[in-house]
Amino acid sequence: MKPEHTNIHESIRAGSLIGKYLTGKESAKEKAQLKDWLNEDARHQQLFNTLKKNGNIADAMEEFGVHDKEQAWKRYTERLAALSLRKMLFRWKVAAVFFFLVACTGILAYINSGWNSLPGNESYTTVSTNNGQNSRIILPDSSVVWVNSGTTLSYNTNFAAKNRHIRLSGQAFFKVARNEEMPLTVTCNDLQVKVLGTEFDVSAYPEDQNISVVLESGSVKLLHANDKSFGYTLSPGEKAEFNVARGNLSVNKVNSYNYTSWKDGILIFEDAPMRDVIEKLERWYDINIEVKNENVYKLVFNATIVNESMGDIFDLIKFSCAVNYKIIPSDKPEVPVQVILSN
Amino acid sequence: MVNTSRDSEIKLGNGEKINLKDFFTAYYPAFNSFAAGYIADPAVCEDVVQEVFISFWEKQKTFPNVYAVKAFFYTSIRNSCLDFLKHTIVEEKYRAINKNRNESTESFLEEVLRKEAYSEIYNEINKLPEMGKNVLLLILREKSNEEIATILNIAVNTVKTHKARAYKVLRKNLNDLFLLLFPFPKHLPHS
Repeated sequence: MKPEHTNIHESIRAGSLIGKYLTGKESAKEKAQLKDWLNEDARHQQLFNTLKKNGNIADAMEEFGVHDKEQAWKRYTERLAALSLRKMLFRWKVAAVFFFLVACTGILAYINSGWNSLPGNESYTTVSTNNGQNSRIILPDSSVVWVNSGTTLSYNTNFAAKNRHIRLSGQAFFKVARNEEMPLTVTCNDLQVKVLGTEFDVSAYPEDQNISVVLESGSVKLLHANDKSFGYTLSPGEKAEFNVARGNLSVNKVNSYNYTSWKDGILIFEDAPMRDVIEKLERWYDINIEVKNENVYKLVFNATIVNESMGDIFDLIKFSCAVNYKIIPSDKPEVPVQVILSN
Repeated sequence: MVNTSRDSEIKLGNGEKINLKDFFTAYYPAFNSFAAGYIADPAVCEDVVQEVFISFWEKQKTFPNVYAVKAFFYTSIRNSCLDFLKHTIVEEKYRAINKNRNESTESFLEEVLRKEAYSEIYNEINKLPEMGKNVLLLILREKSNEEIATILNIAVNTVKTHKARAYKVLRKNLNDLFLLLFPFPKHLPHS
Protein backbone atom coordinates (compact mmCIF):
# COMPACT_ATOMS: atom_id res chain seq x y z
CA MET A 1 0.00 0.00 0.00
CA LYS A 2 1.22 3.44 -0.94
CA PRO A 3 1.80 6.02 1.79
CA GLU A 4 -1.23 8.22 2.33
CA HIS A 5 0.29 11.40 0.93
CA THR A 6 0.96 9.73 -2.43
CA ASN A 7 -2.68 8.67 -2.44
CA ILE A 8 -3.85 12.18 -1.67
CA HIS A 9 -1.79 13.58 -4.52
CA GLU A 10 -3.30 10.91 -6.73
CA SER A 11 -6.85 11.89 -5.67
CA ILE A 12 -6.13 15.57 -6.27
CA ARG A 13 -4.68 14.83 -9.68
CA ALA A 14 -7.56 12.57 -10.75
CA GLY A 15 -10.16 15.02 -9.40
CA SER A 16 -8.71 17.89 -11.32
CA LEU A 17 -8.48 15.77 -14.50
CA ILE A 18 -12.16 14.93 -14.21
CA GLY A 19 -13.07 18.56 -13.51
CA LYS A 20 -11.10 19.71 -16.54
CA TYR A 21 -12.65 17.05 -18.69
CA LEU A 22 -16.21 17.88 -17.64
CA THR A 23 -15.61 21.54 -18.44
CA GLY A 24 -13.94 20.67 -21.74
CA LYS A 25 -10.65 22.25 -20.74
CA GLU A 26 -8.47 19.17 -20.85
CA SER A 27 -5.42 18.90 -23.07
CA ALA A 28 -4.82 15.83 -25.21
CA LYS A 29 -2.30 14.62 -22.67
CA GLU A 30 -4.70 15.11 -19.77
CA LYS A 31 -7.38 13.27 -21.68
CA ALA A 32 -5.04 10.31 -22.11
CA GLN A 33 -4.18 10.43 -18.42
CA LEU A 34 -7.85 10.43 -17.49
CA LYS A 35 -8.44 7.48 -19.79
CA ASP A 36 -5.62 5.56 -18.11
CA TRP A 37 -7.01 6.39 -14.71
CA LEU A 38 -10.50 5.19 -15.69
CA ASN A 39 -9.18 1.96 -17.13
CA GLU A 40 -7.13 1.32 -14.01
CA ASP A 41 -10.04 0.31 -11.84
CA ALA A 42 -13.77 -0.33 -12.26
CA ARG A 43 -14.35 1.74 -9.12
CA HIS A 44 -12.80 4.73 -10.86
CA GLN A 45 -15.38 4.47 -13.63
CA GLN A 46 -18.14 4.17 -11.09
CA LEU A 47 -16.92 7.24 -9.26
CA PHE A 48 -16.64 9.13 -12.53
CA ASN A 49 -20.19 8.21 -13.54
CA THR A 50 -21.58 9.41 -10.21
CA LEU A 51 -19.59 12.61 -10.40
CA LYS A 52 -20.87 13.61 -13.83
CA LYS A 53 -24.55 13.16 -12.97
CA ASN A 54 -26.35 16.46 -13.48
CA GLY A 55 -28.10 16.34 -10.14
CA ASN A 56 -24.86 15.74 -8.26
CA ILE A 57 -23.13 18.60 -10.04
CA ALA A 58 -26.09 20.88 -9.27
CA ASP A 59 -26.01 19.89 -5.57
CA ALA A 60 -22.29 20.58 -5.37
CA MET A 61 -22.63 23.94 -7.12
CA GLU A 62 -25.33 25.00 -4.68
CA GLU A 63 -23.25 23.90 -1.70
CA PHE A 64 -20.19 25.70 -3.06
CA GLY A 65 -22.19 28.87 -3.58
CA VAL A 66 -23.47 29.37 -0.02
CA HIS A 67 -20.41 31.12 1.40
CA ASP A 68 -19.57 34.74 0.81
CA LYS A 69 -16.03 34.46 -0.53
CA GLU A 70 -15.34 38.18 -0.54
CA GLN A 71 -16.40 38.51 3.08
CA ALA A 72 -14.28 35.50 4.01
CA TRP A 73 -11.24 36.92 2.20
CA LYS A 74 -11.69 40.21 4.05
CA ARG A 75 -11.80 38.41 7.37
CA TYR A 76 -8.72 36.38 6.45
CA THR A 77 -6.61 39.38 5.43
CA GLU A 78 -7.61 41.27 8.56
CA ARG A 79 -6.43 38.39 10.71
CA LEU A 80 -3.20 38.10 8.73
CA ALA A 81 -2.51 41.80 9.19
CA ALA A 82 -2.98 41.45 12.96
CA LEU A 83 -0.69 38.42 12.98
CA SER A 84 2.03 40.20 10.98
CA LEU A 85 2.04 43.04 13.45
CA ARG A 86 2.34 40.67 16.38
CA LYS A 87 5.18 38.80 14.70
CA MET A 88 7.02 42.02 13.97
CA LEU A 89 6.77 43.11 17.61
CA PHE A 90 7.93 39.69 18.74
CA ARG A 91 10.96 39.76 16.44
CA TRP A 92 11.90 43.19 17.69
CA LYS A 93 11.73 41.92 21.27
CA VAL A 94 13.90 38.90 20.51
CA ALA A 95 16.50 41.09 18.82
CA ALA A 96 16.69 43.41 21.81
CA VAL A 97 17.25 40.54 24.21
CA PHE A 98 19.88 39.06 21.97
CA PHE A 99 21.97 42.22 21.80
CA PHE A 100 21.69 42.68 25.50
CA LEU A 101 23.07 39.22 26.08
CA VAL A 102 25.99 39.76 23.75
CA ALA A 103 27.02 42.91 25.57
CA CYS A 104 26.60 41.28 28.91
CA THR A 105 28.69 38.20 28.20
CA GLY A 106 31.30 40.33 26.49
CA ILE A 107 31.86 42.28 29.69
CA LEU A 108 31.78 39.18 31.84
CA ALA A 109 34.34 37.47 29.67
CA TYR A 110 36.55 40.53 29.73
CA ILE A 111 36.65 40.96 33.49
CA ASN A 112 37.02 37.27 34.14
CA SER A 113 40.63 36.12 34.40
CA GLY A 114 39.74 32.63 33.21
CA TRP A 115 40.70 33.55 29.66
CA ASN A 116 44.31 33.20 28.71
CA SER A 117 44.46 36.09 26.29
CA LEU A 118 41.91 38.81 25.99
CA PRO A 119 42.93 41.71 23.79
CA GLY A 120 40.39 44.52 24.09
CA ASN A 121 39.17 44.22 20.54
CA GLU A 122 38.29 40.54 20.65
CA SER A 123 34.60 39.89 20.11
CA TYR A 124 32.41 36.96 21.00
CA THR A 125 29.68 35.00 19.43
CA THR A 126 27.03 34.14 21.95
CA VAL A 127 24.30 31.57 21.60
CA SER A 128 21.58 31.50 24.18
CA THR A 129 18.40 29.55 24.59
CA ASN A 130 15.40 30.33 26.75
CA ASN A 131 13.71 27.80 28.95
CA GLY A 132 11.55 25.46 26.94
CA GLN A 133 13.76 25.54 23.87
CA ASN A 134 17.01 23.97 22.81
CA SER A 135 19.07 24.18 19.70
CA ARG A 136 21.96 22.74 17.79
CA ILE A 137 24.83 24.81 16.51
CA ILE A 138 27.85 24.06 14.37
CA LEU A 139 31.06 25.79 15.40
CA PRO A 140 33.59 27.18 12.90
CA ASP A 141 35.77 24.07 13.37
CA SER A 142 32.72 21.92 12.45
CA SER A 143 32.27 20.71 16.01
CA VAL A 144 28.58 20.33 16.82
CA VAL A 145 27.01 21.59 20.02
CA TRP A 146 23.52 20.79 21.25
CA VAL A 147 22.48 23.60 23.56
CA ASN A 148 19.86 22.71 26.16
CA SER A 149 17.21 25.09 27.49
CA GLY A 150 18.18 28.13 29.56
CA THR A 151 21.78 28.06 28.37
CA THR A 152 24.31 30.65 27.25
CA LEU A 153 27.35 29.64 25.29
CA SER A 154 29.99 31.96 23.85
CA TYR A 155 33.16 31.65 21.84
CA ASN A 156 35.52 34.22 20.37
CA THR A 157 35.11 35.20 16.75
CA ASN A 158 38.50 33.84 15.73
CA PHE A 159 37.57 30.49 17.23
CA ALA A 160 39.60 27.68 15.63
CA ALA A 161 42.15 30.11 14.20
CA LYS A 162 44.33 30.40 17.32
CA ASN A 163 42.50 28.47 19.99
CA ARG A 164 39.21 26.77 20.73
CA HIS A 165 37.78 28.35 23.87
CA ILE A 166 34.14 28.17 24.82
CA ARG A 167 32.37 29.62 27.86
CA LEU A 168 29.28 27.94 29.11
CA SER A 169 26.51 28.65 31.54
CA GLY A 170 23.83 26.00 31.35
CA GLN A 171 23.96 22.66 29.60
CA ALA A 172 25.41 21.64 26.30
CA PHE A 173 26.41 18.45 24.58
CA PHE A 174 29.55 18.73 22.47
CA LYS A 175 30.58 16.67 19.55
CA VAL A 176 34.09 17.96 19.04
CA ALA A 177 36.00 17.75 15.79
CA ARG A 178 39.34 16.19 16.59
CA ASN A 179 42.36 18.47 16.39
CA GLU A 180 45.43 17.37 18.37
CA GLU A 181 47.25 20.65 17.70
CA MET A 182 44.49 22.76 19.13
CA PRO A 183 42.58 21.32 22.09
CA LEU A 184 39.09 22.60 22.76
CA THR A 185 38.36 23.92 26.22
CA VAL A 186 35.01 24.61 27.83
CA THR A 187 35.15 26.92 30.82
CA CYS A 188 32.42 27.13 33.43
CA ASN A 189 33.33 29.06 36.55
CA ASP A 190 36.70 27.73 37.67
CA LEU A 191 36.38 24.40 35.96
CA GLN A 192 37.97 23.82 32.60
CA VAL A 193 37.20 20.83 30.45
CA LYS A 194 40.00 20.20 28.00
CA VAL A 195 39.42 17.90 25.09
CA LEU A 196 41.11 16.69 21.95
CA GLY A 197 38.22 15.10 20.12
CA THR A 198 35.40 13.35 21.84
CA GLU A 199 31.74 13.43 22.71
CA PHE A 200 30.76 14.68 26.13
CA ASP A 201 28.08 16.55 28.01
CA VAL A 202 28.61 19.47 30.36
CA SER A 203 25.91 20.69 32.70
CA ALA A 204 26.71 23.89 34.55
CA TYR A 205 23.56 25.81 35.40
CA PRO A 206 24.27 28.72 37.76
CA GLU A 207 21.54 27.58 40.14
CA ASP A 208 23.05 24.09 40.44
CA GLN A 209 25.56 23.41 43.18
CA ASN A 210 27.54 21.10 40.95
CA ILE A 211 28.96 21.31 37.51
CA SER A 212 28.67 17.89 35.99
CA VAL A 213 30.59 16.46 33.08
CA VAL A 214 29.53 13.18 31.53
CA LEU A 215 31.70 11.49 28.95
CA GLU A 216 30.18 9.38 26.21
CA SER A 217 33.32 8.48 24.27
CA GLY A 218 36.96 9.53 23.96
CA SER A 219 38.66 11.23 26.89
CA VAL A 220 38.59 14.66 28.48
CA LYS A 221 40.76 16.33 31.06
CA LEU A 222 39.31 18.42 33.88
CA LEU A 223 41.40 21.36 35.07
CA HIS A 224 41.03 24.16 37.58
CA ALA A 225 41.52 27.72 36.42
CA ASN A 226 43.56 28.79 39.45
CA ASP A 227 44.82 25.53 40.92
CA LYS A 228 47.54 23.91 38.80
CA SER A 229 47.64 20.80 40.99
CA PHE A 230 44.02 19.99 40.17
CA GLY A 231 43.52 17.58 37.32
CA TYR A 232 41.50 14.52 36.40
CA THR A 233 41.18 12.56 33.18
CA LEU A 234 37.65 11.29 32.70
CA SER A 235 36.91 7.94 31.03
CA PRO A 236 33.85 7.06 28.94
CA GLY A 237 30.72 6.33 31.00
CA GLU A 238 32.02 8.41 33.90
CA LYS A 239 30.28 11.36 35.43
CA ALA A 240 32.36 13.96 37.26
CA GLU A 241 30.69 16.39 39.64
CA PHE A 242 32.55 19.50 40.58
CA ASN A 243 31.26 21.29 43.65
CA VAL A 244 31.53 24.97 42.83
CA ALA A 245 31.57 26.22 46.42
CA ARG A 246 34.07 23.74 47.83
CA GLY A 247 36.11 23.24 44.67
CA ASN A 248 36.24 19.44 44.98
CA LEU A 249 35.48 16.71 42.53
CA SER A 250 33.64 13.41 42.78
CA VAL A 251 33.48 10.81 40.01
CA ASN A 252 31.16 7.87 39.50
CA LYS A 253 30.14 5.42 36.79
CA VAL A 254 26.83 6.20 35.10
CA ASN A 255 24.75 5.25 32.11
CA SER A 256 25.89 8.21 30.07
CA TYR A 257 22.87 8.23 27.77
CA ASN A 258 20.61 9.16 30.70
CA TYR A 259 22.45 12.47 30.77
CA THR A 260 22.86 13.11 27.07
CA SER A 261 19.53 11.85 25.73
CA TRP A 262 17.96 15.34 25.96
CA LYS A 263 19.72 16.24 22.72
CA ASP A 264 17.52 13.69 20.96
CA GLY A 265 14.43 15.15 22.64
CA ILE A 266 14.34 12.40 25.27
CA LEU A 267 14.44 12.94 29.03
CA ILE A 268 15.48 9.94 31.11
CA PHE A 269 15.01 9.82 34.87
CA GLU A 270 16.52 6.82 36.62
CA ASP A 271 16.01 6.93 40.36
CA ALA A 272 16.30 10.68 39.98
CA PRO A 273 15.80 12.79 43.12
CA MET A 274 12.67 14.93 42.82
CA ARG A 275 14.73 18.11 43.18
CA ASP A 276 16.61 17.28 39.96
CA VAL A 277 13.41 16.23 38.23
CA ILE A 278 11.74 19.52 39.10
CA GLU A 279 14.68 21.60 37.90
CA LYS A 280 14.87 19.70 34.62
CA LEU A 281 11.13 19.91 33.98
CA GLU A 282 11.13 23.63 34.74
CA ARG A 283 13.74 24.23 32.07
CA TRP A 284 12.36 21.70 29.61
CA TYR A 285 8.81 23.05 29.59
CA ASP A 286 9.56 26.62 30.70
CA ILE A 287 7.34 26.40 33.76
CA ASN A 288 7.51 27.27 37.44
CA ILE A 289 7.10 24.38 39.83
CA GLU A 290 6.13 25.17 43.37
CA VAL A 291 6.49 22.50 46.04
CA LYS A 292 3.93 22.76 48.81
CA ASN A 293 5.34 20.02 50.95
CA GLU A 294 9.03 19.33 51.68
CA ASN A 295 8.33 15.58 51.67
CA VAL A 296 8.04 15.77 47.90
CA TYR A 297 11.80 16.29 47.71
CA LYS A 298 12.41 12.90 49.33
CA LEU A 299 10.85 11.11 46.37
CA VAL A 300 12.65 9.59 43.42
CA PHE A 301 11.24 9.36 39.93
CA ASN A 302 11.75 6.85 37.12
CA ALA A 303 10.58 7.62 33.60
CA THR A 304 11.63 8.04 30.01
CA ILE A 305 9.94 10.98 28.38
CA VAL A 306 9.70 11.35 24.63
CA ASN A 307 7.60 14.18 23.26
CA GLU A 308 5.08 13.92 26.06
CA SER A 309 2.89 16.83 26.99
CA MET A 310 3.39 18.53 30.33
CA GLY A 311 0.10 17.16 31.63
CA ASP A 312 1.13 13.60 30.78
CA ILE A 313 4.38 13.93 32.74
CA PHE A 314 2.64 15.21 35.82
CA ASP A 315 0.08 12.42 35.53
CA LEU A 316 3.03 10.03 35.52
CA ILE A 317 4.54 11.66 38.60
CA LYS A 318 1.13 11.61 40.25
CA PHE A 319 0.70 7.88 39.74
CA SER A 320 4.24 6.70 40.37
CA CYS A 321 5.07 8.96 43.32
CA ALA A 322 1.61 9.61 44.77
CA VAL A 323 1.99 13.34 44.37
CA ASN A 324 -0.89 15.65 43.55
CA TYR A 325 -0.43 18.43 41.05
CA LYS A 326 -2.31 21.44 39.85
CA ILE A 327 -1.49 23.34 36.66
CA ILE A 328 -2.24 27.04 36.70
CA PRO A 329 -2.25 28.25 33.11
CA SER A 330 -0.91 31.63 32.20
CA ASP A 331 -2.55 34.01 29.77
CA LYS A 332 0.50 36.23 29.37
CA PRO A 333 3.53 35.00 27.43
CA GLU A 334 5.97 36.57 29.89
CA VAL A 335 4.42 34.77 32.87
CA PRO A 336 5.34 31.08 32.94
CA VAL A 337 2.80 28.39 33.63
CA GLN A 338 2.73 27.46 37.31
CA VAL A 339 2.56 23.89 38.62
CA ILE A 340 1.93 23.15 42.28
CA LEU A 341 3.06 19.82 43.75
CA SER A 342 1.86 18.45 47.06
CA ASN A 343 1.46 15.06 48.70
CA MET B 1 7.43 38.17 5.79
CA VAL B 2 4.44 37.48 3.60
CA ASN B 3 2.78 40.58 2.36
CA THR B 4 -0.94 40.41 3.03
CA SER B 5 -1.92 42.61 0.11
CA ARG B 6 -4.06 41.17 -2.66
CA ASP B 7 -0.98 40.41 -4.75
CA SER B 8 0.82 38.38 -2.15
CA GLU B 9 2.36 35.28 -3.66
CA ILE B 10 3.51 32.01 -2.22
CA LYS B 11 6.50 30.43 -3.89
CA LEU B 12 6.58 26.68 -4.36
CA GLY B 13 9.60 24.43 -4.47
CA ASN B 14 9.15 23.71 -8.19
CA GLY B 15 9.34 27.41 -9.05
CA GLU B 16 5.59 27.90 -9.45
CA LYS B 17 3.80 30.64 -7.57
CA ILE B 18 0.40 30.70 -5.94
CA ASN B 19 -1.42 33.99 -5.74
CA LEU B 20 -2.91 33.92 -2.25
CA LYS B 21 -6.10 35.73 -3.18
CA ASP B 22 -6.73 33.66 -6.31
CA PHE B 23 -6.11 30.46 -4.41
CA PHE B 24 -8.34 31.54 -1.55
CA THR B 25 -11.21 32.51 -3.84
CA ALA B 26 -10.89 29.38 -5.96
CA TYR B 27 -10.70 26.91 -3.07
CA TYR B 28 -12.61 28.46 -0.19
CA PRO B 29 -15.93 26.96 -1.40
CA ALA B 30 -14.43 23.51 -2.02
CA PHE B 31 -12.70 23.42 1.37
CA ASN B 32 -15.88 24.51 3.13
CA SER B 33 -17.90 21.91 1.34
CA PHE B 34 -15.24 19.34 2.29
CA ALA B 35 -15.47 20.39 5.96
CA ALA B 36 -19.26 20.19 5.71
CA GLY B 37 -18.85 16.45 5.18
CA TYR B 38 -17.74 16.27 8.81
CA ILE B 39 -19.46 19.17 10.52
CA ALA B 40 -23.01 20.26 9.80
CA ASP B 41 -22.75 23.82 11.12
CA PRO B 42 -21.50 26.01 8.22
CA ALA B 43 -20.18 28.66 10.64
CA VAL B 44 -17.93 26.10 12.31
CA CYS B 45 -16.77 24.90 8.90
CA GLU B 46 -15.82 28.44 7.97
CA ASP B 47 -13.87 28.79 11.22
CA VAL B 48 -12.01 25.56 10.56
CA VAL B 49 -11.12 26.57 7.00
CA GLN B 50 -10.04 30.04 8.12
CA GLU B 51 -7.80 28.53 10.80
CA VAL B 52 -6.14 26.25 8.27
CA PHE B 53 -5.57 29.19 5.92
CA ILE B 54 -3.99 31.05 8.83
CA SER B 55 -1.67 28.17 9.69
CA PHE B 56 -0.83 27.82 5.98
CA TRP B 57 0.35 31.42 6.01
CA GLU B 58 2.12 31.04 9.36
CA LYS B 59 3.99 27.92 8.32
CA GLN B 60 6.12 29.89 5.88
CA LYS B 61 7.54 26.63 4.71
CA THR B 62 8.14 25.86 1.09
CA PHE B 63 5.73 23.34 -0.31
CA PRO B 64 7.25 21.39 -3.20
CA ASN B 65 4.22 21.83 -5.48
CA VAL B 66 0.54 22.67 -5.59
CA TYR B 67 -0.45 19.06 -4.79
CA ALA B 68 1.41 19.32 -1.50
CA VAL B 69 -0.41 22.57 -0.72
CA LYS B 70 -3.81 21.04 -1.37
CA ALA B 71 -2.89 17.87 0.50
CA PHE B 72 -1.94 20.08 3.45
CA PHE B 73 -5.35 21.74 3.33
CA TYR B 74 -7.42 18.59 3.01
CA THR B 75 -5.51 16.75 5.72
CA SER B 76 -5.48 19.69 8.12
CA ILE B 77 -9.18 20.36 7.58
CA ARG B 78 -9.99 16.71 8.19
CA ASN B 79 -7.89 16.63 11.36
CA SER B 80 -9.38 19.87 12.70
CA CYS B 81 -12.89 18.62 12.00
CA LEU B 82 -12.28 15.28 13.71
CA ASP B 83 -10.69 17.14 16.60
CA PHE B 84 -13.64 19.43 16.84
CA LEU B 85 -16.05 16.51 16.83
CA LYS B 86 -14.02 14.71 19.46
CA HIS B 87 -14.09 17.70 21.78
CA THR B 88 -17.66 18.72 21.32
CA ILE B 89 -20.79 17.08 22.49
CA VAL B 90 -22.59 16.62 19.23
CA GLU B 91 -25.78 15.04 18.10
CA GLU B 92 -25.69 11.34 17.49
CA LYS B 93 -25.80 11.66 13.70
CA TYR B 94 -22.61 13.73 13.49
CA ARG B 95 -20.84 11.25 15.63
CA ALA B 96 -21.92 8.52 13.27
CA ILE B 97 -20.45 10.45 10.35
CA ASN B 98 -17.28 11.05 12.29
CA LYS B 99 -16.88 7.40 13.12
CA ASN B 100 -17.44 6.42 9.55
CA ARG B 101 -14.86 8.92 8.26
CA ASN B 102 -12.38 8.03 10.91
CA GLU B 103 -12.34 4.45 9.79
CA SER B 104 -12.00 4.93 6.10
CA THR B 105 -9.07 6.49 4.33
CA GLU B 106 -10.81 5.44 1.15
CA SER B 107 -13.79 7.73 1.69
CA PHE B 108 -11.44 10.58 2.63
CA LEU B 109 -9.57 10.19 -0.64
CA GLU B 110 -12.79 9.94 -2.61
CA GLU B 111 -14.07 13.09 -1.00
CA VAL B 112 -10.85 14.92 -1.91
CA LEU B 113 -11.27 13.78 -5.51
CA ARG B 114 -14.88 14.98 -5.60
CA LYS B 115 -14.05 18.41 -4.22
CA GLU B 116 -11.20 18.82 -6.69
CA ALA B 117 -13.41 17.89 -9.64
CA TYR B 118 -16.33 20.08 -8.57
CA SER B 119 -14.01 22.93 -7.75
CA GLU B 120 -12.85 23.01 -11.38
CA ILE B 121 -16.47 23.05 -12.52
CA TYR B 122 -17.52 25.68 -9.98
CA ASN B 123 -14.73 28.06 -10.95
CA GLU B 124 -15.52 27.59 -14.61
CA ILE B 125 -19.26 28.22 -14.12
CA ASN B 126 -18.41 31.32 -12.11
CA LYS B 127 -16.97 32.88 -15.25
CA LEU B 128 -20.48 33.00 -16.76
CA PRO B 129 -22.69 36.06 -16.32
CA GLU B 130 -25.27 35.81 -13.53
CA MET B 131 -28.15 34.81 -15.85
CA GLY B 132 -26.00 32.24 -17.64
CA LYS B 133 -25.16 30.66 -14.29
CA ASN B 134 -28.84 30.48 -13.32
CA VAL B 135 -29.75 28.89 -16.64
CA LEU B 136 -27.00 26.33 -16.31
CA LEU B 137 -28.02 25.34 -12.79
CA LEU B 138 -31.59 24.82 -13.99
CA ILE B 139 -30.37 22.74 -16.94
CA LEU B 140 -28.57 20.56 -14.42
CA ARG B 141 -31.87 20.20 -12.57
CA GLU B 142 -33.25 18.74 -15.83
CA LYS B 143 -35.63 21.62 -16.53
CA SER B 144 -36.89 22.21 -20.06
CA ASN B 145 -36.30 25.47 -21.93
CA GLU B 146 -39.91 26.52 -21.29
CA GLU B 147 -39.68 25.80 -17.58
CA ILE B 148 -36.44 27.74 -17.30
CA ALA B 149 -37.97 30.66 -19.18
CA THR B 150 -40.89 30.75 -16.74
CA ILE B 151 -38.73 30.40 -13.59
CA LEU B 152 -36.27 33.11 -14.63
CA ASN B 153 -38.90 35.22 -16.33
CA ILE B 154 -37.01 35.47 -19.63
CA ALA B 155 -37.81 34.58 -23.26
CA VAL B 156 -37.32 31.00 -24.44
CA ASN B 157 -34.90 32.27 -27.09
CA THR B 158 -32.78 33.95 -24.41
CA VAL B 159 -32.71 30.63 -22.58
CA LYS B 160 -31.43 28.98 -25.75
CA THR B 161 -28.67 31.58 -26.16
CA HIS B 162 -27.53 31.09 -22.57
CA LYS B 163 -27.77 27.35 -23.00
CA ALA B 164 -25.42 27.41 -25.97
CA ARG B 165 -22.86 29.34 -23.93
CA ALA B 166 -23.36 27.12 -20.91
CA TYR B 167 -22.65 24.04 -22.98
CA LYS B 168 -19.27 25.46 -23.82
CA VAL B 169 -18.53 25.50 -20.12
CA LEU B 170 -19.95 22.15 -19.24
CA ARG B 171 -19.37 19.26 -21.58
CA LYS B 172 -22.71 17.76 -22.45
CA ASN B 173 -21.75 15.71 -25.42
CA LEU B 174 -21.30 12.46 -23.61
CA ASN B 175 -20.61 10.53 -26.77
CA ASP B 176 -17.17 11.86 -26.22
CA LEU B 177 -17.07 9.97 -22.99
CA PHE B 178 -17.69 6.83 -24.93
CA LEU B 179 -14.59 7.58 -26.95
CA LEU B 180 -12.63 8.07 -23.82
CA LEU B 181 -13.35 4.63 -22.49
CA PHE B 182 -13.14 2.76 -25.79
CA PRO B 183 -10.75 4.60 -28.03
CA PHE B 184 -11.03 2.33 -31.08
CA PRO B 185 -14.20 3.28 -33.05
CA LYS B 186 -12.92 6.33 -34.90
CA HIS B 187 -16.20 7.05 -36.67
CA LEU B 188 -17.93 8.27 -33.52
CA PRO B 189 -18.53 12.03 -33.37
CA HIS B 190 -15.91 13.94 -31.49
CA SER B 191 -16.54 17.33 -29.97
